[in-house]
Amino acid sequence: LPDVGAAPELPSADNHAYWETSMKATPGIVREWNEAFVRLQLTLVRLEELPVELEQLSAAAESIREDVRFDVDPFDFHKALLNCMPREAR
Amino acid sequence: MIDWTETSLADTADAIQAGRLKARELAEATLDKTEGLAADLNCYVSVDSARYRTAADGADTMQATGRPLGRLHGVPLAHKDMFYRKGRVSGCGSRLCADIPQSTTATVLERLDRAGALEVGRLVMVEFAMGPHGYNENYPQCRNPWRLDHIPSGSSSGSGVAVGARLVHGSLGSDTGGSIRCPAAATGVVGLAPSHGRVSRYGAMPMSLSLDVVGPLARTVRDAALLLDAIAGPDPNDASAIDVATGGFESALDGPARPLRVGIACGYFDDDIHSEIRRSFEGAADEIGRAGFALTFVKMPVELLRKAADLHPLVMKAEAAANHMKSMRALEREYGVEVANRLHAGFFIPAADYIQALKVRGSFLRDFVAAALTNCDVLLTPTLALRVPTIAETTGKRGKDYLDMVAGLTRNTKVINFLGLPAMTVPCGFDTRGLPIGIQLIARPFDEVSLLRVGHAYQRRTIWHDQRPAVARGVADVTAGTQQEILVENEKSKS
Repeated sequence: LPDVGAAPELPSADNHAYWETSMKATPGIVREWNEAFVRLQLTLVRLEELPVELEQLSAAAESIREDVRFDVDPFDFHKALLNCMPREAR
Repeated sequence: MIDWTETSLADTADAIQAGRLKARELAEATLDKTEGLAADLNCYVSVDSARYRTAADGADTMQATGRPLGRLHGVPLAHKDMFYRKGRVSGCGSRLCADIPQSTTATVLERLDRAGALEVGRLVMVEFAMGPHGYNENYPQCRNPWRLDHIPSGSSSGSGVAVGARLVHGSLGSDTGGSIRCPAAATGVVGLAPSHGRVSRYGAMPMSLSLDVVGPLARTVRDAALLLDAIAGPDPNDASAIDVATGGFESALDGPARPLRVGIACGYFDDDIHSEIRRSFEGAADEIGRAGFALTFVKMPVELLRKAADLHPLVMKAEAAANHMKSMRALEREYGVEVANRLHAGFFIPAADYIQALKVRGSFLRDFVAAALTNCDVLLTPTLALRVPTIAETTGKRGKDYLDMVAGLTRNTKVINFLGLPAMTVPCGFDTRGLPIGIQLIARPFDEVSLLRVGHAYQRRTIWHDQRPAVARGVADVTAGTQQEILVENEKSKS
């Protein structure tokens, strides 16, 4: 493998303050992400507005981290629909 | 003389079957009324008078031959402009689809055709079904028939308005977060969002396939049952339409059945609701108790519901973004500003977050049913937590204000889509400005029969569904009035 040099030094994983700040959606991050992957024509106003919405969605995802089981198939939902149906409706 | 545009779908269908009413006669009355009101209400994208008249003549000819008739024979319907019909445009509320004829026909339209229903035209909707207020910059403002300066709600805005103003006897809408129930509640009609998988979505414009359901808006619970009888059932063209026992919804309304227990939801759904809505809701619950159902209070799993409410937009936006990625990149200028803005966030949702949200749906559903629908068969909640807003209050919002407005309108409905449960709104009164209030009934998966039975029993004891907005009585300027004034005016117009 080619020598890529030393890995950049990052703060400790225990440094929550750093990571919370650095991972927060900001207009700059949204712009770079958009340019790299999404490729929409986002106006400056939208770049300012989107972080609020992305933070809400990110918080929603974070709220269920502990609830998600490793071995559950998303199609489990259809099984649950049938399991929860009252006997009279079958 | 009976004005057949004012009668329920069931009564009108019975009159046609009995030969007391010709489909063509009804068509002329329907088109007359539509011509008089459609411009004030802006609920139609297009009225196809020629096609409707021809179909009505065909229905009368068929009846004269003595051939067996479908249950909806000759009845005029019109649907949200997102159900495809081969060779016809389905605009989906968008400039992008305004000129493209469809190459297939939606399963639900084929089924309504088979039942004998006729189609008057295409009804206005929010662009790509993305918005609960009823606003669409591509059309003139669709207006609430009860007060023209108030929103009809959406996204099935035209459906609620056309049924509420008595322009058609029923309509199909779609519901991803409340898009059938919110406009139905705001316009004083019944709106039924069936269980996920009960009704085929083949040939219906997709918004978020994990959450979308197709269902009826109608004047009465019985009418909704008739329409559900016609459209429900598995479909080889839609793998998500589940093969469970179906049909018999209308006949189940009055037949012998197990006693039902009705729960009043405590927590989440009743948090911070407007005092006038609380009063109507409590009155409706009392009336349902007096109808003979065993009433109980049921504590809601609030934390679960809050998480479901937050996850709903995550799933909806990720799926909507996937549907629109190609055209948003190339043709964003063809989207309305509000809808384009609503789509943006979906492109930034990590795939892992989206899949995790889908993975918890099954356990959320099991936990909710265990907590909320074990000691009762039907749950009662207010449909909207707030009074129907004005057009001015909901238009032109940006950023967090827009998100808060959407969340406020859909708080009590979107969690039901995330859980895949059937739910129905039934009119239960008016606020002091004369705008309708709805009560939401929720049941276990595929137990629409229980919803319909409780709703029907309630309507047999109440008169809210019989009230018509002033515009439908020929009063041009709508200032509505109090609940009492509405009842008095309606009574006067009948006599």
